[in-house]
Amino acid sequence: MTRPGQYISVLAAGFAALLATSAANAMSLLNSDTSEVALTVTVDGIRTEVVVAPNTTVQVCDKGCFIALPGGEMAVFKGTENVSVQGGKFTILEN
Amino acid sequence: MNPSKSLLRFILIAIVGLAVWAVQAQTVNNGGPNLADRLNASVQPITERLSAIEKEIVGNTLNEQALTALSSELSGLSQEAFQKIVQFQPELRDLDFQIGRLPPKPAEGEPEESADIATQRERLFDIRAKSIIAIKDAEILSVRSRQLRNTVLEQRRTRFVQSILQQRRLGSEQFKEVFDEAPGAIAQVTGVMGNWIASIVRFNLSGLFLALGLTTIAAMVLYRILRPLRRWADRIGSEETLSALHKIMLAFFPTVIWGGGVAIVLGTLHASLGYFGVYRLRVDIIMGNLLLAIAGLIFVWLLITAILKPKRADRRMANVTDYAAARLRRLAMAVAVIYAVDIFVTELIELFSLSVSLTVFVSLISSLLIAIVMVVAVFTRLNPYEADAQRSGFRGWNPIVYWLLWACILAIAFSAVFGYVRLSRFIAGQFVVTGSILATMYLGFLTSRAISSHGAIASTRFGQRLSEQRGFTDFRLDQIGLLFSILTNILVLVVGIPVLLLQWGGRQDEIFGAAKALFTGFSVGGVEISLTRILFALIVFVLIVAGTRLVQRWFEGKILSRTHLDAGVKNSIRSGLGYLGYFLAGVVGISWAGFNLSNLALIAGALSVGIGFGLQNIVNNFVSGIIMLIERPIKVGDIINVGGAEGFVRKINVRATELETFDRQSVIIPNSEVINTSVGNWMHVDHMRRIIIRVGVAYGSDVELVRDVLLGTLNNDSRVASHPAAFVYFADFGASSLDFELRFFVRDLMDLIVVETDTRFAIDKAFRENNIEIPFPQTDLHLRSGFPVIKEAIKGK
Repeated sequence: MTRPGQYISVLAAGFAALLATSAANAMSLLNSDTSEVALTVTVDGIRTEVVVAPNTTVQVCDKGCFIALPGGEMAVFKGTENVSVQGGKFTILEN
Repeated sequence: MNPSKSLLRFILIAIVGLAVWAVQAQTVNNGGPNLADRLNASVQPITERLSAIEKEIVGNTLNEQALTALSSELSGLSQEAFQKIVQFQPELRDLDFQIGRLPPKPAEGEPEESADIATQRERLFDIRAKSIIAIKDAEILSVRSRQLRNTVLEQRRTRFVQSILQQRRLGSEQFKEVFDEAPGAIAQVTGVMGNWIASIVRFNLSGLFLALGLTTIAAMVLYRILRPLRRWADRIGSEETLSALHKIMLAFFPTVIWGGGVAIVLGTLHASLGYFGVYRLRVDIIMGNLLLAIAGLIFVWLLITAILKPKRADRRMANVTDYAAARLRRLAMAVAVIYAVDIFVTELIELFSLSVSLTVFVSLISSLLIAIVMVVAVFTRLNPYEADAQRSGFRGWNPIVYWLLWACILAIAFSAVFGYVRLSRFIAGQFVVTGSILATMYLGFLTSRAISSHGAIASTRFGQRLSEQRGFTDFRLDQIGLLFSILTNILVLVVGIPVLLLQWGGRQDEIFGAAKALFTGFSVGGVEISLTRILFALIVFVLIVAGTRLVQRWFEGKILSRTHLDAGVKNSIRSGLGYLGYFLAGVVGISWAGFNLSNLALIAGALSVGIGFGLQNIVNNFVSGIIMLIERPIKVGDIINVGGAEGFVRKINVRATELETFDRQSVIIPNSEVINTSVGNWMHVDHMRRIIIRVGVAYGSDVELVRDVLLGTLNNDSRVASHPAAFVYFADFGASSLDFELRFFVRDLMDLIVVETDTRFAIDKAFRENNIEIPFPQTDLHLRSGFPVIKEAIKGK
């Protein structure tokens, strides 16, 4: 293979690998409020508290979880959604 | 129309209208169980089952098997509940959507909403509240399941420790009991085996022959298949000296091949005996264990022989004497045999439900035997006598290994003596298995070291092919060797460490969970670290750097070559692209790695004062370098002098510029000096340079002729510039001569010295042709007083 060909195939393989693994992404959650919000994420029975700053997106559970909001709201997610939180309520964003 | 007919029609319409309204009301009610009810119906039975399991576990009376089964059931329940709830997700969203479609609730003072809408609102909110409760129930279920699983783990651990630390009396009564039970047990086992063999002879000889036949065929097939490998091993083995890599390959591959082959053959025997119905109840287990033990022992023999090579010191992979190698092999096989027999007999005892005291007895014997073998091993001298002076009494053993062995021996012996037989057996077993795993890992590391050693890859066929076809140099091959050795190390660790952890009681899911966390991300004091992300950041960085080089090259080839910019500018652009690319790679890489730059900013702020002072000069140089790229006071290829050094500019780097003097010395000048001090650049504007040739002629020469001659020497020289014109400067009436200077410009300063020399030759020639004298330094001597003889002589002149 010629030199440029080698370079290009290496680059292509690298990008393919990147794409393949970035497909295994977690669910993204955006805090649309003006103040920070404390979520309780339960994954397979383990509860973790996650604090999200206003207007920030975090990646949470990739295999599915329950998420509880301070206001008493709780929802269940598969792990592939894009979700936004505002005023104690969840909104699933359609891409 | 008939009044009764119209009345009928009206009633019909009214009934239809009512019916429609009723149906519509029904559909609003979503007839049948609503969402919340169905959610509850899914979760309820699972919760009930969980509570039942909880009762069982809390009682703490379950055995290991039951506990394991319940643990996996719990895990399954948690998953099941989650899946069931997730299926309702679209309906839940639908519910929210319906609630959102309701008109807004009227405020105080505004007209109230209709009864329909109010009922609807109430109903929807009720269903929603109940649904949330059902979801919360599912979440609590998963938490409880997790807690119960942890409890199960605790119980299992406690049970294990309790059983290990059981103390048994080892008095005469115990031994008497064993001696009483033993004959009966042996009779039982031999009876079963005897019956089996008898029944084969009587009933199933054909089955036996079929099985043996199939096994023989399998063996022959394997033998044929493995021929190329055997030939390869023979070829390599016949060479006199082997590289470390070849030694290891020669040790491993035949071992694995032969050991694997034996395992396959024995496995075929076992399977075919079962297939052809030769086995009886319990006999299949016994035979299976026996064949497994034989296969294992053969494999161990092959492996140890390959490593220790008692008869061939040059192939040995451990640095021990011949005597030690032979001894160690026998001892290692002894340990393997004891361990295998112990397991086999223990399984037999369990299979035939024989007395537990027999197990204790067997465990005791095997532990003590292993300890004795270890003692003999520790007292074996590994190295030749003379070398002992440096090894201070460890007989060639690695001190750490030596003390570890002694620790194990004492632990086994003392725990056995004090009656902790299970503990003793546990330690002995752990020693054997963990020792084997560690030894295998050590060999893996030896292999990787051999792969990375100088010239290792080059000595293989693979390496030779690479160097012939791709022209890889030895250095390249060594680099490849290094890469492979790193991969080998990683492989050894990735396989070895989990196996070790499993062996020491780690749970599969715990280990996988920890490994996954290591890669996907875990927090250390508020900083999230994820190996995968770091790895990706590195890959992205490398990719962007590679991309930069490509872009540089393409840019240079396709675009810059079509312009008329000179080499210096092209170099500047190329470097500029490079810096841009590296910067981009760095920024993207760091953000990919997920580093929160605000944390770094705090630290950077604190350190910035010190860094600022320390890096002053470096940053100065860097910025000067950028200025040089843009302003281009000097270019690659120019002849400059800076701070006393004069030479060609070879390279302009980020921090410094490389000059090559005419003496071929490299002078590396910080860029800040180039910017901040005066730099003489002979080629900044053009390539011309002035030459001044000083020549003196004798007093009395024809000065006009001198001028013409001087100018004439330049006439036919194309290297001399005609503009500015050459000029003869009558410098001085000197002490010894009339001093002239021939001043002219040479077109290309690279010709400086040559032109000067040639011109001087030409001047000398021309002066001789024209009888112009170049005088020596002269002084007139006036004698005022002195010797009369000389006075007379001069008077005469």
